[in-house]
Amino acid sequence: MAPGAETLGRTRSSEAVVIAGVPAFVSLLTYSYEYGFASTFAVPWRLVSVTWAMAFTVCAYLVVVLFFWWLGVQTILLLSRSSLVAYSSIWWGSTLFFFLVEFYLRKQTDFLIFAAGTALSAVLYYPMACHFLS
Amino acid sequence: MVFQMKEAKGGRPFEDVRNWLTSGPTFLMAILLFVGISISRDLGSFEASRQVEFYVVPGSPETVVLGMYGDTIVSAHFERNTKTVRKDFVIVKLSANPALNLRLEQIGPLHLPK
Repeated sequence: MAPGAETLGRTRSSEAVVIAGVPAFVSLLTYSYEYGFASTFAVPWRLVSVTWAMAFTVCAYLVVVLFFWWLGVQTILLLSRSSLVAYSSIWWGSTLFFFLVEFYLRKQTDFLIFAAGTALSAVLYYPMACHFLS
Repeated sequence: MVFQMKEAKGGRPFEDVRNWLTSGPTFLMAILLFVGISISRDLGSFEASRQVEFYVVPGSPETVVLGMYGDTIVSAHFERNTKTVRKDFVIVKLSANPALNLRLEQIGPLHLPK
């Protein structure tokens, strides 16, 4: 193998993931947005399809929300004095943050979705706990 | 099980936590996916519950356009006075109705009957 070929191959595969992944991610978000809109009026989900015109709006909203979430995580990491405090603060902080976002956006609280989200966030943050608390 | 709190080896506090968070693409992608889908769905629901202007297809009864997906228009019958959308949908193919009359009106925010 030529020198640098492995690095080049890895770079190309990363580029491929980005090239394939970003449009897939954006279309998934746009579909979720359209589904949220249509389900409010009980439109069957099979009728919903992605419209690319909405993709920019969805991404712009998401960037703003994620920016504040990331800011919160960074603040917690700076202020925390132990890994346990950091982990639990991020978990509860994120859960509360997304609960408030959902409450503000929907003006109603779907507790089943909230419970599922809390459980899922615990699963997502679990590797962090294992890594730093073991 | 005994939890041992591990402090950072570097100068800045919790450098390892920060590094792990920023260098874990799988973790970050999972978070982005979960957060992105749930917030996008909520945003759609939020927009739907606040939108005032809708396209109306004149006729008897009138129908309101709830979505335009490419060539397909999904509309539903609605009651103007109570601002409620009925659950009977009319699906129109634009290619089959090239001269479809649509009128933009302030009839919302609309909701389903309780």
